[in-house]
Amino acid sequence: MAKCSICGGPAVAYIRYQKRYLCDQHLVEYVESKIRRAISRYKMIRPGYRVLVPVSGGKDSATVLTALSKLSRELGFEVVALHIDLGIEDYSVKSKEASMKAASKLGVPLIVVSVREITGYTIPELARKARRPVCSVCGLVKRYIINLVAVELEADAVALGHNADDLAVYSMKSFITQDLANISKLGPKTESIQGLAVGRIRPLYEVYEKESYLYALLTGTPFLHEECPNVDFNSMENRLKVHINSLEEEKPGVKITMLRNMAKRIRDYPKPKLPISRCRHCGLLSSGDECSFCRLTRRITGQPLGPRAREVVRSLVTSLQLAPRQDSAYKS
Amino acid sequence: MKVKVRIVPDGRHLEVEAGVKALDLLKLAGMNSESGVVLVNGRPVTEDYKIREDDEVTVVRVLSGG
Repeated sequence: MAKCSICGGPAVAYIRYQKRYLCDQHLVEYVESKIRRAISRYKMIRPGYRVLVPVSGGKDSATVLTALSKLSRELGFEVVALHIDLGIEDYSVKSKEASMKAASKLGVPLIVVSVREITGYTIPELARKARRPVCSVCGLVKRYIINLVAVELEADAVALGHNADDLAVYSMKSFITQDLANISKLGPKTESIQGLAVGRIRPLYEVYEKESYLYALLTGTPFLHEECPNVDFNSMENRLKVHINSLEEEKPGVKITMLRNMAKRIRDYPKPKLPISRCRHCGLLSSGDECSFCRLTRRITGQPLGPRAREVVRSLVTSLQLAPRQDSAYKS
Repeated sequence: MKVKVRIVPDGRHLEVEAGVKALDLLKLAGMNSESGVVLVNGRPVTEDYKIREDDEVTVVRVLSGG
């Protein structure tokens, strides 16, 4: 059996692009060191920050939550978790359970927001009523709720679970479709817009998907192995993921090279030309005078539900009884 | 001697001869060293590990559908 290149213990993984075998303990340390380095290299988190971690119940958000809850003590920042109950059959029940177990194991405060409680409908019902693909409605609602919770929490950053494989694939898809402005949003972080939107960070920017899985498994953080029943394995993203990983097997390190260079050149890509304004209903980020969440819910229910979502979230945030923000970078 | 292998998350099963290497098992399940991990008795093993007849083997596709 292969031995760990650091301590000689039984190896659990071979890191091909580093030509190193690692045991469970050194694999965990290795992934944490990559996350710590990315946080520092890309200036993602400063001491005193409040960081919101949305958790789906899957491996990547479990990895972000575990690593950030450990690093928060070392680097002096605060972590709050968010789970959105989408109402997608049995999958959502199990996802919520895994998220609650993970947050409780790590001692991280968790906010659970139910889409049905806010809109009266589950995600599949909203999609049917809007006659739109379920993944497109799901993405829209999740982005809205995540930003809303971050604004109400006065968080300084939202830590997303996109790993290196995800980002390589999104960027390749944007290149293939020549949606170059989208690439400008795929870097390690985006900036906050005061009062409207909280900036996003991607602590797993340089962590491969396999490493993220192994980290979640070896740290014992509960996560769901199941996939959402709506996932399309023939989508361009999933086909590209298979291709880039065949290439990675032949040319180890190709994903990391791509992402490091993308981070350096992110400013060279055109920025989306949509104007930044405030939704007249809910007051959050919008490209016109009505945000996409308020438009979607107004068309389905007859009234824009952004203001109701804000009320529900505000009361959930209050019930957490977090210490008041002293010096929020988001406020300044 | 045949060893039963469970594939996650598809729920499929494979049967392989004891002695097969973990990397070959990944290929049989349609994955490679980047897209899948072999677990033996719940713990990950490296690609050169040879499956034994009393091992409880799972192949996990680590690429999520996004």
